[in-house]
Amino acid sequence: MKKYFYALVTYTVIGIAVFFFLLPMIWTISTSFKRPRDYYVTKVNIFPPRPTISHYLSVLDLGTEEKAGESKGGVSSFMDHAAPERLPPIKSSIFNSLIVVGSSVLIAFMIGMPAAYALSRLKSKASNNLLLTFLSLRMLPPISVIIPFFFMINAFGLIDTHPGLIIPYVLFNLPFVVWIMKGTFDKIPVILEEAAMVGGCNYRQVWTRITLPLSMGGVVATVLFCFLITWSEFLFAVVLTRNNARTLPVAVTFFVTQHRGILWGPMCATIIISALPLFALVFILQQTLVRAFMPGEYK
Amino acid sequence: MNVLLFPSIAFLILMVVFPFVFALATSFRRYVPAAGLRIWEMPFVGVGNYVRALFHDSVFYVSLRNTFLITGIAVIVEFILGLGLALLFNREVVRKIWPLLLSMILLPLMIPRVASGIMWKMLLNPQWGLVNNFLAALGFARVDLLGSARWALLSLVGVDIWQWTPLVVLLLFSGLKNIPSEYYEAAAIDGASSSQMFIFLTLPQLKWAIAFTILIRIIDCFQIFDYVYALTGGGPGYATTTLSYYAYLQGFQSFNLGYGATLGFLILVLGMGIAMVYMSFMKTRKTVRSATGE
Repeated sequence: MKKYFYALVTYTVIGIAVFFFLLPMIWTISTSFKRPRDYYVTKVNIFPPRPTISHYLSVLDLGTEEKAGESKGGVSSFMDHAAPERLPPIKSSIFNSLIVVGSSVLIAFMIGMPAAYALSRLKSKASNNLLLTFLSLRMLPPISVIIPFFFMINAFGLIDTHPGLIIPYVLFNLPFVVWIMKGTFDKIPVILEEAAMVGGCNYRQVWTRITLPLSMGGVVATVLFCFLITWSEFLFAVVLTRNNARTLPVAVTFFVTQHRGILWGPMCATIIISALPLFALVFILQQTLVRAFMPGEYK
Repeated sequence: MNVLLFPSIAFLILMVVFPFVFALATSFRRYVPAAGLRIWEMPFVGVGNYVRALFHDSVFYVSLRNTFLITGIAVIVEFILGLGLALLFNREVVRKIWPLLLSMILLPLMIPRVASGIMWKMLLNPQWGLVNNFLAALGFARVDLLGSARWALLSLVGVDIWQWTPLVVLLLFSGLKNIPSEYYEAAAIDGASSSQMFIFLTLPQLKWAIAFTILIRIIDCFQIFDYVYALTGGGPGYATTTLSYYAYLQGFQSFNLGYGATLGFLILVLGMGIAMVYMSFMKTRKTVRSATGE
């Protein structure tokens, strides 16, 4: 009996916690499907009374914007979104974000994976210090380096370009790549690689046939982490980009317009869109992650 | 083998050492519009900027206080909530569904920080925000949380808690899972009660995970910027201005690039100092080993 009571209490508390963490997102999803007159209300409506996908369409340039005053004729108010301003360019921001984040993760891997491997196999005081240096990069406040980066990126004419943002992002991703991959390589016994060499493989084959497949779990975890961190990066994006290379997080803030107040509907649609790639990534890679952490894969 | 390290070392020197020196140099100069972005044309003021920041700038100390308040409250609450939830997740009755639970709990982490800041701005809106609609439905008065100095600060803390407690849960839960169940069985055989098991078995085994998690959270909260930008823009007056946001205001709104670099450097020193004090405090408890997993 006591066991059932504890179970009940446990589930209740967990239920409340999950509710607390999910409610804002459910509300955002709900608002993104509501017509403007329905979210400027003083009641709590979880479900949109008259659902519409116009916010998503207008944000992605696929349709026209929903005018609040259209569904009822008559008195116009600030809710009618009178001035025909253009919405922030979200479609290009999505591309920019994907390109910038993807490239920076890739380049961070190209620089960091060899370093992680070397740091894992070399056991010297110098290599330990280098490792600590990389880890301490994690603690670097972006605000401290933004001004010199602003100067440097500007000097090379890379303001508002993709490389201009990719280069600092590699700097943010590098500690994670080195950190996680070193841990992964540590778990692969050197004996395996030495045995392969004895068996007649050269360096490249050892790498592609033994080390790399066994480290897939770490690779996946690193990609996930780096994507998570870099996708929502804001300070560098807002300082180093103007109209061409703007990334999603910056574009989301542009819904606070001057003439029409804050456009909640399209903004919620954008927030959901900005979270989708990360959902998808976690969902897809979740299976690989779980499989990779199973013990006993050394064949 | 050493050759493998060359690209990363080169990158470090180019992208860390050089900007660091550059930032330092900029912090000793004062920005004038005529100089454009040529740092050597800016007049040299020596430690003038630092004197101004430390002795003549009350906003610097306001932002310092705000940052410490936010960090302190957020980290403590996140730790308590996160540990509690992680412990609950570790119970027998929940074992079967924890993959599903974890993926649900991790959802707040998937939203970009700015986006969640704006989302909460919507939720806290006095006229049609969810929070106030809820309060009104229950019969309470509506509260303009972002208009009052104290509540705006707490709202920032609240957003941080909402978004980052799941990470604490994840990290601590991973740590909990690594404790072999045989330890608990042995303790039960020896007659330990639940609270005894918690204090003498669970907590010591979790030391590394707890230390790591708290360090990460302190560092991240210290650098809070996105939420301030999205939610309050510095708050009523300067009530919610944090260190990073103040440096941003000085450097890129007022365009005092020299002073902004000064503030940035002070923030760096402060942050590194806190991290080092924290780590030396942890070192006295156990030997340092590199973090694995995650």
